[in-house]
Amino acid sequence: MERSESELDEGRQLEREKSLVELIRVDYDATLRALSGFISTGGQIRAIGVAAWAVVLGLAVGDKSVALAALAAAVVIVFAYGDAYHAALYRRALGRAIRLEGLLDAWVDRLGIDADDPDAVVRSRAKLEMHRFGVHRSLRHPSVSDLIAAKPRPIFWVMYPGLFSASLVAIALYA
Amino acid sequence: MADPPPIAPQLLRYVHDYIDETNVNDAVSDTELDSGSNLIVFYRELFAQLFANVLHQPITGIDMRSGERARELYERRGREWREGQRALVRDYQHFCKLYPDLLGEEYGGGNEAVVELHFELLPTLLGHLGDWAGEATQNELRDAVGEARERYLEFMNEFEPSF
Repeated sequence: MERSESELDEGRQLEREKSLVELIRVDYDATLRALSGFISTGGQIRAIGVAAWAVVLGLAVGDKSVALAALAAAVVIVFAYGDAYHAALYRRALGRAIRLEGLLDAWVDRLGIDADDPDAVVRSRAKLEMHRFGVHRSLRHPSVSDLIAAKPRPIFWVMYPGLFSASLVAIALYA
Repeated sequence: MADPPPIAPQLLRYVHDYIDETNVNDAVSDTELDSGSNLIVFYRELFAQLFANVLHQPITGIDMRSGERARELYERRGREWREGQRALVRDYQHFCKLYPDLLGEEYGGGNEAVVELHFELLPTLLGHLGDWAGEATQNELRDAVGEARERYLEFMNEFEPSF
């Protein structure tokens, strides 16, 4: 039996939606890789920073050196900045990953709950079409407020200030 | 004495109360809703009455299992229902899916679920409820829904996105 024009049209629309979903999956995979990269780079920066601070402060204590204690304080600031920068990038990428999951969930609904709701099908299609592709082109540099709001809070509001304070104590002791 | 309506028009009072007590900009930026929020109570009561008095099915509560049972019912008996009933059951499934996220149980700490509720789910639900009330000649409910929907859309139009 020949298929009607509207059935053919519906079939073409579905194929088009499948292609859009494939592109969104590519974007989602890239976002997950970026997320993983940010979190591992942030972790490495934190580990290297703490180790470098401990070595420099150890030398400062050994030599009773103000200059080395000041260097330890500077090391904390530099590594805290790098860590916060990557934490902020991670938050942005996570937000994007959540939005992409929302799009893929809309596709799940379009195939499931909303399969026989023409209005919902149109809404779902519009969402797929309005997606802006590319995690890197849409990832803005973190602002100062992003850096201040970096998480996890205990790292940025307890650990780094603690290391910085210890360096200041050493500076005061050896001045 | 006339039978009570299967879905009480007084339920829409929850939507009006929510609008009266809420600033739209705060509402949209919230990451979660309280389980006692007027909107959540409205959803819970509405679906409880729908399943008990319209579909005559013992589906209670809002969770994934109830959503699955509603879908099974939809697949088995949906063809016998009016389109308005079918749409309301689909809305129930959407709400069951979104419910844990609305209560803030998602990891990302974003407000996607709340935004989806305000901009999509609730206006759509009110539209479908009005359609069903019209089909079922529940005129009092249809008028109450129309009024609540109009107010809710006006309320959402006051939202000022921050760029």
